[in-house]
Amino acid sequence: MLQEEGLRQRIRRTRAISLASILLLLVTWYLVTTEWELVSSLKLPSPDRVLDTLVQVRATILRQALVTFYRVGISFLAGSALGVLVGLVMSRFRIVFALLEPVIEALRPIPPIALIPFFILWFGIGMFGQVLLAGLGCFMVMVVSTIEAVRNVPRIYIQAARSLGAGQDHIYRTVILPAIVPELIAGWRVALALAFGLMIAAELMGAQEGIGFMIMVARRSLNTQTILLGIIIIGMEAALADRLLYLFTRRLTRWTERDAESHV
Amino acid sequence: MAVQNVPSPKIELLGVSKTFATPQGTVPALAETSLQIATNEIVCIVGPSGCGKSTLLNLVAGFIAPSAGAVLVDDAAVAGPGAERAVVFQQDSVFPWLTVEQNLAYGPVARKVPAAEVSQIVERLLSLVGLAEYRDLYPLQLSGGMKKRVDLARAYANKPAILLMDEPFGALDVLTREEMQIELLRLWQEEALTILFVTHDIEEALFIGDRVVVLTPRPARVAADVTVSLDRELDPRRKTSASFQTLRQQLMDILSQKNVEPAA
Repeated sequence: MLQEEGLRQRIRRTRAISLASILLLLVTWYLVTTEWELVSSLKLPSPDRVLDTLVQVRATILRQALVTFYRVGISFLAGSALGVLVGLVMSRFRIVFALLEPVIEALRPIPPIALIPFFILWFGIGMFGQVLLAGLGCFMVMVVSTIEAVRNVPRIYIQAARSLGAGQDHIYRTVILPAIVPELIAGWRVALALAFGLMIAAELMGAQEGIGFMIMVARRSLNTQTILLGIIIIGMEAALADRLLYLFTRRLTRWTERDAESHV
Repeated sequence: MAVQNVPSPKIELLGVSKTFATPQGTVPALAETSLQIATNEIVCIVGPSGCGKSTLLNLVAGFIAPSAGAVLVDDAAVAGPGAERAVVFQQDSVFPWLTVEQNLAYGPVARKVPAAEVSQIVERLLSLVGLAEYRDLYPLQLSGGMKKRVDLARAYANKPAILLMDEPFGALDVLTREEMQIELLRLWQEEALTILFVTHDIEEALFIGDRVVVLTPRPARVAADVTVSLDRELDPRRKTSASFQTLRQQLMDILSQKNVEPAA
């Protein structure tokens, strides 16, 4: 009980420090732009001007933010689900591994951003090409994470399952799959961040909607407030998505040690 | 019928040897060994650490194949792991992502036993090993001794004919180990099966076994095969009796090679 009390106090203190740090950043921003006027408002508009912009164009911003969030969501869900599936099948069947591994290893070093012009040429500047690009990024991350995670499953669990009468397919469903989840979480978080990055990059280079598109349009008219607003919005969206992912994965890993510590 | 007069052994090792291939060349782990284990007999294998005790057990489990000779169970050669030969390892092999109850049900479910029967088996074992109130907990929330109980009950849930135990209580503290030894004997008295029990603890072997087989250092050979004719009371105090201690000393001498000749 005492220990728990101490832990709670520590968590409260850490939260207070984190909040103070954000406030300090905002205050510095305010001082630099408004109080001391060290930077021209064209380069760095003051916080209140950014807030004004938000209030003025809130409907548009909300729409653009939702478009981007929706596209990232689809890319991440489809790309990483397919990635985990392909990774599992590759680990399960030697032939599939021999077939796909060289292709994946050849394509993996290519930064997906380099594919954007090519994708625009093929699919135009619509949603399809963007989702495909971000989804491909997630897919690559998750294939590699899954294969690696399967390799790390302790042999003892597989031996135990075999001597309890489980066949290979049953072992994949009931041992390998749950055992790799904690390791996949790291992959999922990387994939999600990558999906946001790729989506924004794709929207910046050619799109008709989305936060990236909004930033691009604002740049043409030197509308720095909107650029800054877009950056903040996308940061908040990515943080929100990461949080949702955390809440989802916590349900999947109730049995692990990392969770036992974190839910105190 | 001749079969009734000379019952064939449950487990039979016929001139079995095992060598492992390593980058430094082949390493003999088990020299030519023959051994017979009768139905419902408890045979303990003791020997210096690294002598090849586990190799012997893994051969019977079917995790590895012999380099020469044959391993027979019910007069049929062992071709791989099977549900009729349950294994309890030294390492913790209880599935951490399943609750206590789900762990016990794993074997029967894998073998597609009807659900009603599975829950019957699970209920019975939960109360038999005193885990009923912990049924919904994850292994993470259990002590080492409790986890071993789950492990043992999970093995029993499959109604195996043979129980293979590889230093199962080696990682437990002295008191818990003693508790588990009694638990094992209690279960065996309740539901007899053939047990092959590997340990480096002579006292444990004498307490549990009908027979104690002493192996030499690597490559293992049978140095002594002693039938234990002590009473089978479930009281750890009998370990301190004179006859127990005399036998223990004899086996110690064989083990430390003061007397290489098999004891009568």
